[in-house]
Amino acid sequence: MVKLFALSVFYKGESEARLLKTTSDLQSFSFFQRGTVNEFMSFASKTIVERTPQALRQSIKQDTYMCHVYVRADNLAGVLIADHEYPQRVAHTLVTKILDDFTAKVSADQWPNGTEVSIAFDSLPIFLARYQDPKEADPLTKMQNDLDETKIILKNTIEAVLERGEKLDDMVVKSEKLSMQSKAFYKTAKKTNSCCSFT
Amino acid sequence: MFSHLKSQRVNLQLLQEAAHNELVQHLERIEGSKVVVLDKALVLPLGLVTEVKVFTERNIKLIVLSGELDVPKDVTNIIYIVRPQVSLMDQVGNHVMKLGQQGRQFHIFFVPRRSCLCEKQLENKGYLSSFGSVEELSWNFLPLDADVVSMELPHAYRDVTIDGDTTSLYQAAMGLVQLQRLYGRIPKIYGKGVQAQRVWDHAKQLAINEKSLYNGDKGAIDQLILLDRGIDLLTPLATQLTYEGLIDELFGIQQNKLMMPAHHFPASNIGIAGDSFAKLLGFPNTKIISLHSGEEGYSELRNKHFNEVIRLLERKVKELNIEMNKYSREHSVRQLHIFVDKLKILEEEKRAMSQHTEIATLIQTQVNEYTFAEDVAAEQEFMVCADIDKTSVYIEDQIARKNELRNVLRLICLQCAAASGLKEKVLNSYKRDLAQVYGLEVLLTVSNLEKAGLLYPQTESRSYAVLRKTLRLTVEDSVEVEPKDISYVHSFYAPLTTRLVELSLKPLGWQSLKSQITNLPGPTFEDFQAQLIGIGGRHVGTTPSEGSLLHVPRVVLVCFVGGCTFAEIAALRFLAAQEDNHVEFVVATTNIINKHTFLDSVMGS
Repeated sequence: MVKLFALSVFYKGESEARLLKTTSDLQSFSFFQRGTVNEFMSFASKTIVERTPQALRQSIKQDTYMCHVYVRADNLAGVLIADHEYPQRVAHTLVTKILDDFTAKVSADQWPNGTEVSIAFDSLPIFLARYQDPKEADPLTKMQNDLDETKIILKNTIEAVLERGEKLDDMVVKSEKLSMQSKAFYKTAKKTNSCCSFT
Repeated sequence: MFSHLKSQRVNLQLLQEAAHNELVQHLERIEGSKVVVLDKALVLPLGLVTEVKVFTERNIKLIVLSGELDVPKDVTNIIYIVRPQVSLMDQVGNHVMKLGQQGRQFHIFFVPRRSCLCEKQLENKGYLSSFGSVEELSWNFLPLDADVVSMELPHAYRDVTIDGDTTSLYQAAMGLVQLQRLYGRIPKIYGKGVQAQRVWDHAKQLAINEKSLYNGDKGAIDQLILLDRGIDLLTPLATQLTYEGLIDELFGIQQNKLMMPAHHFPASNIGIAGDSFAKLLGFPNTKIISLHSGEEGYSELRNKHFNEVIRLLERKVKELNIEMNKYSREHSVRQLHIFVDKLKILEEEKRAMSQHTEIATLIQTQVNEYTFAEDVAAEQEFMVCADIDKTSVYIEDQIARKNELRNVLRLICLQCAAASGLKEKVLNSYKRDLAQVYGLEVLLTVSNLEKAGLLYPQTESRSYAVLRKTLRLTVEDSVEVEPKDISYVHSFYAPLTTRLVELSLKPLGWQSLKSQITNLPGPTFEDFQAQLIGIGGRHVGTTPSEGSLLHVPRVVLVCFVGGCTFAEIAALRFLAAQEDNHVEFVVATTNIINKHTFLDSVMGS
């Protein structure tokens, strides 16, 4: 099951990563676990950003989760925590997208010293929700799926068309039977010509 | 619809178009709403030159001629398209009597020509005055396929030999002139047989007035060979073993249409174009199958020996199976796209193969009957002249069992042809047995056969026996599948007529043949139509332009006066297919016959 769990924007400072905004979807966890999971995810995200060099994308496997991180050259970073089935390409597209969005909405001077409270950026939860279904959100995946579906429909249609009229298998059987039952017409082959005498 | 007619150097589509235009011209000359009443015998032949939609486009209803005529009230013109037969005139007259009022105009189109006799008949009954126009549609030869034209006269042989009615010969002559008008002058003519000579003399006479024939270069046809059916009566009596020949003999092909009981064929097999003339004849529960070179897969199958056809069908069906299942292995959309493009063609092939497999199965059921095999074996013994001068035990047996008279007579005539005449003792013995078993009336039929030249007493010359050796009519090493010689059409016997044509293709072939075929009945003749130069009309000898160019195959028109079989046509096509022969054939005939129709006609049924 494709699932997104958390989406965060960080600023990678010299010594540490500063959390600017985060959101999470922990419905799949039981109520009592959620707090712990949340903490864990925040910690993981922060650590990953600190350990990822600039201008690099990475996808890191962590237990049952995949952390997709992108640290831009200007030190703005995004982390997406998803499960293993979530397509990598879509994940990175999402991260890039929110970073672009963030850049547009929040001015760069706020980044180094911003906190969750001070930054005004509400799009994260929306994105997280929308991208839960990678097919719908990502046009490329959507197209690929449509294509695959079309192929299957096409094959089924072809099959239906081919089934029209006499069945090919029946024809094969019939023609084989014909072949087996054929007889040579020329029988009088080597009969000596007890032919006519010329009178 | 007729595009398959134009695949050869002699483009027969021109013939079809000429006939079609003649019809349309006459139709359009008549103003007002019309209805066309068709002679039953012309319904299918009409389909060879035109289409039903030509009539429906002009809002003309088609009705088949019969005793009663039901015409919608608002129709002002009733057009009859009929053969010039007096009996039909009576039917027409009755209609005129019943429907003559209400300002209706009647018209007649005679096919292929007007007849004084018919017009007199109408005049005598007082109907002629009600007729607005009396025209003729000069359809002498109708195109059956790209290389076959036929007059569609089923009784031509009988008419001439038994009734002394030479109309068919006249029509053949007219047809030849018409062909020359369309395709140009034929420079070299060869022929054998009494009726063949008469046709040519007639044609020459008629052509004297055709100035256009003699000006200019020779036409598309290089040679004409006229063959009288009477020189080879064995071939039409023998069982044909080509696919098309068997279909004709077992089920009957009329004007390229095969009618089969519908239950053999799955209803979902769509493929026959909507309207056709055949539907007018109204056969319920019948599947009408079109058989000509335009139909998918037919050209490949029709001329081959049945045993080869079976193998070919099996192979094709297997290949088709593989092709069609390929789609399940394709993965990319582009590959599937390519497959879908091919799908239509594959569907067509599948439909055609389905039909032919069914037809072949039906043929085989009949062919595998021991009666069929025994008949063929008896034929083969006659063809190799085994015990030819004695009464055949097989025939006597057949008579004793009172089996089908037509078949018994066929075998007797076959023996006669192979023996070049039956010994008097033998002939009398047969006649006695026949009369005893079938009744005295059979002797009338026998007398017809004698008049037709199918039964005659033995004379000095044994032409068949001699020709069998000199022309290699029967071969030792017969090959049915992938044959090298035309003898495959009857498994091991090459039709005499086709052998003659084959030998005439060699350089100086006809000259060397002449001495060999003196024993066959009738004159051997040749003629030459040269170009006229200048006002004085000097004939010019063979100029280099008259001879065939090296790289272009010569075109030979073979005209069978009295009928020809599908096997003979297949044999000619085989010859044309061989590169060495450098030839293309066009076959002209009074009708396509087979052992049944030929005998039926002569027996007078």
